[in-house]
Amino acid sequence: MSIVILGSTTCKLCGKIIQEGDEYIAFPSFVLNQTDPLWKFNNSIVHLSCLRDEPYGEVALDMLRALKESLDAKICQVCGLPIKVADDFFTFGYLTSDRSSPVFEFNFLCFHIQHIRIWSQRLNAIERFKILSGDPMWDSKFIEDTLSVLY
Amino acid sequence: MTVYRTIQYGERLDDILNEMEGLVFSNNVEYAIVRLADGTRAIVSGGFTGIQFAPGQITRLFLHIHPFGLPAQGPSPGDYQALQILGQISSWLIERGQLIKFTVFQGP
Repeated sequence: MSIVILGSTTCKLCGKIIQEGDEYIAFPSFVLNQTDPLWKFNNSIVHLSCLRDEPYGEVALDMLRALKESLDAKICQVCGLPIKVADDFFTFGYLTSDRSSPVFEFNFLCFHIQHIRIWSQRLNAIERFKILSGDPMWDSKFIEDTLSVLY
Repeated sequence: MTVYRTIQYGERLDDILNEMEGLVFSNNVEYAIVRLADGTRAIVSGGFTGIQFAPGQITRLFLHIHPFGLPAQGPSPGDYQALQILGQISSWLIERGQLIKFTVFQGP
């Protein structure tokens, strides 16, 4: 999330000031993995025209759109109902844009906390996150926290 | 920026924060407490990816809340930049229910 003050805030990519009327996007903190190609857009404010010149610009927009849709809806993956209480909410959020990653299919999934234990993919997810636990590209605390929710 | 409501003198901060956290979860957009150019304190909202202010629209950013479901990574570079633009030393951020004070260095 970002506070943008038009006429003062600068574009991370071109370094120019974002003026009133400029098309821009403010990316929230949504990327966990510092080696993810989308990391450079994490928590940054950029002109849309600058973003479109970037190799992963369109992917970043697609992933942000999907993340927003999942968080707008907050639909539990297990029961299919909307999650209405913050304390009852868990999401994997954005994990990766790499379709070959073992956790790609878990991107954006949301759950009622108490439903994770009966999620049909829980054991499969535990195994896949365990694979990542030794991977230096992933934040070990995130993997530990995620596994503790899944166990 | 959209003004959600003004804050009256004597309102309890805990009540305001509870209200804002409920709003953030329900609406999935960012909220902030600011002082508007006319001196009024207000709760304002932005979009999913942040709050946009026109030049001179606010004079102080007291606090803002990041939406649920995003990794807790603290204040963004844009948040720090906003403080510098507003001439503030510090502000508050709520992320995943945690209240965080963030500060910009003001050199001699």
